Amino acid sequence: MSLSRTGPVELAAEANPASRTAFFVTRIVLGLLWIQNSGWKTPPDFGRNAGVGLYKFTRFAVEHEVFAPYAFIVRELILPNFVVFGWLVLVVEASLGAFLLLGLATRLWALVGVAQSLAIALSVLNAPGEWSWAYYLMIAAHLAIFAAAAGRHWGLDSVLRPAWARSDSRLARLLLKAS
Amino acid sequence: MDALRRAQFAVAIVALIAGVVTLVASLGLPLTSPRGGALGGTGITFNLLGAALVSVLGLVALVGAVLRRQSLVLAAAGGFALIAVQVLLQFGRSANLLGTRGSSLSLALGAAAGLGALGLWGRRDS
Repeated sequence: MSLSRTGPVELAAEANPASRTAFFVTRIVLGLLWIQNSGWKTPPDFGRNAGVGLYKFTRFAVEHEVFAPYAFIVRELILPNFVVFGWLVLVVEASLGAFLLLGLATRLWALVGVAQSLAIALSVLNAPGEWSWAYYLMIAAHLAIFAAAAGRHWGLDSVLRPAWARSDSRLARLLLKAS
Repeated sequence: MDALRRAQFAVAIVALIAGVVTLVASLGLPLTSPRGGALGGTGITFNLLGAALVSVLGLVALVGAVLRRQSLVLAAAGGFALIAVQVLLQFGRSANLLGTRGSSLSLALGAAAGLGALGLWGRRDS
């Protein structure tokens, strides 16, 4: 039995129409998920004064602790600087929606999606009424589009990668790696 | 039509559809209402002024793609970048000129980045 090393480039090229469609649909659904989610992260206080919205869900990390070091970071670093954190979450989630929907720098943004899903899971996993598998599924879906380089399936990565490969600029080399 | 123009066409069409749907959804609201009409369940909202702006920018990008005028595609990308800045400055405040929220930032950012990347690399390759 021989073992072959198959990278994302080969995976993208060899994918059959069914798997290309599945990767495309997964990427679009994840993009829409983040677009919809960025809608309720509302400045200027992100729910801090009324104890609602992003502030309420972030506090769950302390009130219904999942992982002690993460709860410590939320209590000591995030909650005292909540407005800065709120803006960071809003920009990251809006960007996740934008870039995953486009299929631009998809592998990079898939990893950001894994990190963001993990952060959400560590905040709310033990909160009442939460379905923990939703967060495991989010992490798994982002890992799948990372592994499959899903932007190369009807995404802008597939259109722009040849131009990036021809260019010797640093930005083009970075985008080539990110896609 | 080559792949680059097809991609410009696709991004422009998505932006145009978002503009037209939110335009219809915000009919009856004041021109600069702080809460705009919604694009289905996506969370994307624009008021009449915002929706008209998005529609015009989508149309400009579409014309640029059809006529192979990268300058028009890039101009539309610049317009969407300005909408993204407007969201960052006014979302959640009583004065929200385009009736936007966080999801609208996602749309504006996507249109700006997508059309910008396609326009810039299209111009380099032509």
